[in-house]
Amino acid sequence: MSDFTVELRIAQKGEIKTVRQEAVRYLGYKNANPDDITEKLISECEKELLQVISGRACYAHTNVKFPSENVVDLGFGEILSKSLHKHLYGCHSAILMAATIGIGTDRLTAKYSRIKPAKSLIIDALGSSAVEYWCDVVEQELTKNEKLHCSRFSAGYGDFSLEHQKDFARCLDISRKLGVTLSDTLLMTPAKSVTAVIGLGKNTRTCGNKCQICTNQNCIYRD
Amino acid sequence: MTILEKIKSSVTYFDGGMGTMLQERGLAPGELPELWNISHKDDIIAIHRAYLESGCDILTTNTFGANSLKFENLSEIITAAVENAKEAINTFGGKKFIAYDIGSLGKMLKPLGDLDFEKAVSLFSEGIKIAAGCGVDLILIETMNDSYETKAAVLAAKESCSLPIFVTCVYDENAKLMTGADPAAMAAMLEGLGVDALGMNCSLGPAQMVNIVPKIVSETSIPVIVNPNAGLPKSVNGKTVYDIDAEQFSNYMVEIVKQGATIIGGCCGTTPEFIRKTVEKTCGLPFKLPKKKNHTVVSSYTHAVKVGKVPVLIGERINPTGKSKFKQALRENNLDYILNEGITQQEAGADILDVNVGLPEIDEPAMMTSVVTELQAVSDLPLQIDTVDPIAMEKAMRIYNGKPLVNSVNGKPESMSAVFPLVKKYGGAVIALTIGKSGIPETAEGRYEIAKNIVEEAEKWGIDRRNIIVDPLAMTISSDTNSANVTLESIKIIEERLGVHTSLGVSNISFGLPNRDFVTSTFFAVALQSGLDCAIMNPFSFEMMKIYHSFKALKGMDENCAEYIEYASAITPQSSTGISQTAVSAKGSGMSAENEDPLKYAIIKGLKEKSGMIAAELVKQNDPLDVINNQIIPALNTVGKGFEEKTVFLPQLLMSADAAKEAFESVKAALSQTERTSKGKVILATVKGDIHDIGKNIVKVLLSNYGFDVIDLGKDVPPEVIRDCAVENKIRLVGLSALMTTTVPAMEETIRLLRESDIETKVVVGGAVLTQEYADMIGADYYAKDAMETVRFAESFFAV
Repeated sequence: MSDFTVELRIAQKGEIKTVRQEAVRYLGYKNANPDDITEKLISECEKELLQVISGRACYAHTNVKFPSENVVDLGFGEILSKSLHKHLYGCHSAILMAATIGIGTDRLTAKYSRIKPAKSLIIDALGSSAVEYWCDVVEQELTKNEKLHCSRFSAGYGDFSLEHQKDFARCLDISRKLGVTLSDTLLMTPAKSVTAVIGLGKNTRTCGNKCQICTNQNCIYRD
Repeated sequence: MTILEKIKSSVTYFDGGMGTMLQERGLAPGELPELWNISHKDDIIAIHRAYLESGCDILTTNTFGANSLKFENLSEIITAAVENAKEAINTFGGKKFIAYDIGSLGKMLKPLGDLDFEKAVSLFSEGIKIAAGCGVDLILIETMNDSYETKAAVLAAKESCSLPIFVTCVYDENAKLMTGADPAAMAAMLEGLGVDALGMNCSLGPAQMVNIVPKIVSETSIPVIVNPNAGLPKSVNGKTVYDIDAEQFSNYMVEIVKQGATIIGGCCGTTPEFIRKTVEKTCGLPFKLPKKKNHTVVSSYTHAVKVGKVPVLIGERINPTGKSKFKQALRENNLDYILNEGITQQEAGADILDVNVGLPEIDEPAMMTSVVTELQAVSDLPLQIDTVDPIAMEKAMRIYNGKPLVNSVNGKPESMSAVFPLVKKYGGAVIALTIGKSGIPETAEGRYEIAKNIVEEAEKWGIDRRNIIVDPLAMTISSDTNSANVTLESIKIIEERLGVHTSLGVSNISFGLPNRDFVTSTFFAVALQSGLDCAIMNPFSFEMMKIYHSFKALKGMDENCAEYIEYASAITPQSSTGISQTAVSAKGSGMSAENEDPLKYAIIKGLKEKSGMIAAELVKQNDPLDVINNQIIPALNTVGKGFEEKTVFLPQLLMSADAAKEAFESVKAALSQTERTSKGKVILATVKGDIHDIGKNIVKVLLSNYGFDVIDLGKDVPPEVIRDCAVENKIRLVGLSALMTTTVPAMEETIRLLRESDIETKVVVGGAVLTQEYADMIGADYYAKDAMETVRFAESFFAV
């Protein structure tokens, strides 16, 4: 049961794709290209993955308030987070969203981890690229009539505590709407699922470089 | 009239949505609707009352989310909810029914999620016991997205009360649950479990459900429930509205009843007006229950397999009999080996996987449980639970996600009294061997008599004969040349006279003969022609698969011979085990040229099959240790070094590791026992609460490659389990992985327990969120930033 007016969006056939370049980046290739054998394996994985992906997303509009320094109110209670405050400051409202590409990726990675670990790893990376792509599709659709908005921001970024996954889960009713569940340790199943907030109504600024926000200096993907 | 009498005599009406009605009455954002049972009794009673006035027969209690994960005062809430429904009925009058409403727990079950199956059963049981004590008329399990959670809820209901059980699931427009099951799979499992009505609700409107109803009706013999939403949701001025009104809704419901649904109502967005109009328009329609289906069916969590139409192949490879490697895997708890047998049989064309893990020296119930659990995480084929141990059988049937096939029961009274209660409770189909008190009769008539007795006995237990698949036993012709004839005759008369399906372990027929496949496959063809429905067989056998595909094409079971053409076109004369077609020049230092060091080259390139083949050739002429030391190890080192220097990347590293593993397998056979030394034993585990194990698996592959014995405890592993295993095996090095900050405390706790134990164990940690600082903070001995670092650490650690 949700406190918000939550809408559902189901991906049409062929609407989600994997983004090879991103997947390759997740696989640790910084400036290098995979060799031919790996490329071939990636293509094979892509084909298998696309057969089991099914996209769903849900979202709700909410008001945003900034009651005090480093505190943001997204309609489900006050959140203490410097990074979120900085990201959303100036927004009058926001969209809470959740998206998933379904349980198929989890099943494929589990299967291949037993018989061909390289494929398991590649499918995992491709799955990440696909859910991000699907989020982009939904985000663009939701913001196309918004003059001003900033990019999506998720619990776990910067000091926006992962604990708030529970709020996203509850407000967006993700278990019923998307089949996405939270573990006691706040991990989502299906693994390739995303929750995020998109701020509306402030000067569009480039929030694109998520690495700037993130505090993990040791991350291998850090730009 | 009881509810069961009611649903068998006329269209029966559920009420409509509760949430929408509560919001209209002021349910505040964030407020849990179940609390209103106590705080707003009058509102709840008024809503129930409005539905009764609209003509519904069954009220659902306002308890969708009532479970002890959410509420401490569960008893109070459920009692109040039932009282409210009773109060509404008392003031309204007439015979109405109360359904105790159960929704999803909102947690995914293991292994995909973190909720234990038995924990789910007990969470559901708590509420059901309270509701049954309050005097509800039936249990309604609704809005289920997942077959496994549905099974947990149904088992809870069966074990907690004797009330009728209705189940509705959420299908998408492709008629699949979110975790993949289709209507046939759900019907097989639920009917097997003995529910009283099944169907669908929520997510879709009646316009979409109209197309799915026939798919359910055609698969089930019990009444079908359809409770749609008021169309699809859309947002108007920031408010969710559904896109059809009561008039349109009820028009669709007329179609839905015509399609064969006999228990109908509404879900999200529907109001008493929707129900009133639906009752008005459908109450005069002819009432027709689904026809009784006589199909024999088993299912997995995605699909059902029907026996009888086309031959069903049951893969026999998960069985230790006569396989020393398999026995070793069981003794060493090497699940990877066993799972691999499952996955590859599926790829080879098996429809069902037989699972036999019986060895005198192992704990069979425990092994059976873990193999079934793991197998259903990597393969979506239905499983055949093959054991003579009733405890192992029950445990496996219980945790099985679908309707299992059981192997086997026989004509002895003690076998039937052990197996039939389990088949009845957990809803399986069972292979019945024609073995009686005095063994296997020599004649077909004798075997038929036993089969008849088994079928009749099963029916006394309430098990329909369609769930009995008779195996009249194939005995080797090497000891009795008439034995094939007897078996073939048995198939014919058993099917003809008893109307049941048959199965055979076909390969027994050739026991003791040379080139067994010749005889086995010919027998298979003849048996199929005699009416055999299932074969327990080796799907890797070229001869058998050839027969299978050809038979289907010949008998008109393969439209346009499409499957046959696909199968046969892919068969080419065996390619030679030689080296690849094109020579690729080696780049960089240490990279071997293909023609100089073919094995090194194949490993570096990650060519798995080729590495295995070349290694097998090499050990014919070389000392196996030389092959390892001069070829495999240098190749691994080249790749490992490349990875550290960032010229080789993780996928390649893993492909090479896989190729090296294959090469090791080929060489191992040639090694003497003393030469098979291990560099050391390491435990690996993803810590409690963490359900992502890709990182841990990578480390495991590499460590095994470098000669370490890895005890893989899996994911979401409690600290005590890791400690106990370390103590038991006197482990000196433990590797722990964690993905999220939320699971690092479990890592810390594990380290603490290891430190408190009597053994000297070092701990290496890794995972996405870990850093050196984190590792120091939680008291780890070493932080490895990637898999190669773990290998290097293990090497230096065990070297001293």
